[in-house]
Amino acid sequence: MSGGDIEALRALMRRYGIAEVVYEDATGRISLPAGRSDALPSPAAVARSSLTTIQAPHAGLFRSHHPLDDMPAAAAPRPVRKGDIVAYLQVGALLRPVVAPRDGRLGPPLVAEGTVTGYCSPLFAYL
Amino acid sequence: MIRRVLIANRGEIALRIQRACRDMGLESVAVFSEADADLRHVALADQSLCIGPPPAAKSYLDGREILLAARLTGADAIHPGYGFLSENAGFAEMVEAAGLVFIGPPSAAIRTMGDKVAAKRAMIAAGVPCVPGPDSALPEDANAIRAVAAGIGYPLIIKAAGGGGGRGMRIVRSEVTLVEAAAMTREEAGRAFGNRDIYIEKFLEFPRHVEIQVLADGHGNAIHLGERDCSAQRRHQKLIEESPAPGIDRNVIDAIGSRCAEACIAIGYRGAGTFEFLYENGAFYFIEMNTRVQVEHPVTEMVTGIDIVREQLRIAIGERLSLAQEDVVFSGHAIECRINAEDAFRFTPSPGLVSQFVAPGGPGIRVDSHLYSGYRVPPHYDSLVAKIIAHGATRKEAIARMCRALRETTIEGIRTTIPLHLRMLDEPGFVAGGFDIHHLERLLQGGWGAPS
Repeated sequence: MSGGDIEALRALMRRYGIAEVVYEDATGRISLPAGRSDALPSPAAVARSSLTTIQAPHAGLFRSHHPLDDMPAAAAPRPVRKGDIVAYLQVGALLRPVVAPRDGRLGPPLVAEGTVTGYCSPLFAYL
Repeated sequence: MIRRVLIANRGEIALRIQRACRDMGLESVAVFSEADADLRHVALADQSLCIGPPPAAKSYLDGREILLAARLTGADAIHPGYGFLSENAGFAEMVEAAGLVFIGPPSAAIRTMGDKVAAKRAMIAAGVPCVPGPDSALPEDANAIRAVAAGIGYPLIIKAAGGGGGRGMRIVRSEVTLVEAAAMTREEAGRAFGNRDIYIEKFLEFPRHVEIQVLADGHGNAIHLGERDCSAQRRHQKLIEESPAPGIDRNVIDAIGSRCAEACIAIGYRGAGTFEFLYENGAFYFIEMNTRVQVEHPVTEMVTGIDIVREQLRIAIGERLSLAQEDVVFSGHAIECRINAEDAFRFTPSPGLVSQFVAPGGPGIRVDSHLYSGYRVPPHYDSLVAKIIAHGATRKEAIARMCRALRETTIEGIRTTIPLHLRMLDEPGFVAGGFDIHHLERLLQGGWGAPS
């Protein structure tokens, strides 16, 4: 397996919300984490945030991903860690990030792509 | 051309501006803080957008966020109302630089008038009478300060060049306290206004507050709409305003009003504005200019029939004034009472849920308010919740109508200043008219109006 194959596998893991793949047999054990920012939070962390939403920190047009990023936003549900950029709010050429306030698993966006959202509008719900 | 106006304000003035926009076929955009989602003008706006949390510094005073909201909503003009960013030259400049229309004077005029020393210099140059005192900042040197003061005579008042609205002032009655008072005012001015410059003037002991409303377009035309007497004040905050000012000859008003209109042309002013004067012993003394629409503008609207906010919008669009000075006709007498969500005599704020609101009506009554039953007055902002304006053929009739309106008004769930107004309208000094700016304070200090 090449380095490219490993990265492709990690991308798939991130896309489908898999935090870590572990292969174990009699000869040994291999662990492949999806990456720090996309690792699944602990069940306790998920429970703590399950009743919260991520609200818009500013007004702006809702963008689920950076316009220069070819990658579409990960399908829901998706794991996030505190500090991850989960979306952007756009005004003209200005893009302001929406940051996850805590670890958790996010549902789909609560607003459609390109919607004008005001400060504090709910953008995602933690599952 | 203006098509969509962003209203960068809240409460009754936001609703007032929105109504003028609608009358002119303009769309309105309401921007509001998290605490103000239930405001009436937000519900009525063509577009509305929450721009920040309740503290004004993070919403109504955040010029950058308001500009982004204008871009986001496609607004091509911003009306700042009064307070907040309405007299912030930096904000007006940002709006201009963004290619939007600031519905107010050019930023340069706001900057000149915001610096009280520069404003005084401009007024003297334009022939507007000012309070005796130099049109320059006070020097730092103690001996130089004493020399300037000696030239004016005591009592005098030290003011912050960047102040206004009654803030940043200190009265000095003898040379003994002069230098220390200057140092303290300078220190406070630096902290409060970011400008350590102070200036000094003769202190007038018993003046009235009489102000002149002006309108100026961008084509070299300016008119005055007469005066308002705003002497019913507490701690420099106006409570009742009226027009005409009792006992001042119309020719005198017209003469000072014409000077103000000429000054507008001289300084390149555009929009609505107010020249504030102290009036004592038959003479006017300029104190400051407010480069925005005033809270009390309806008083003038009632006696002239001119929609001042509509004129602001027309001027911003680039149109000429809709009338000349000789077309301005004054009719009757108007009084405005500011209804604040406060205890009537202790003046402590009283925010909370308005369980019932019933507005007064009938002949000669106008109500500018954002209140409705079920509205919650937030604790974060100015306590003004309604303005009741009464008009009558005479002052006596206007007062009678105001009394009737105040008694008709129902505001339940919060305390208001209505009881204070009712007492004031029956107070002999008020009934006589022509009292000075300390009248209400003297009454309150003497125990007048205290709950029995």
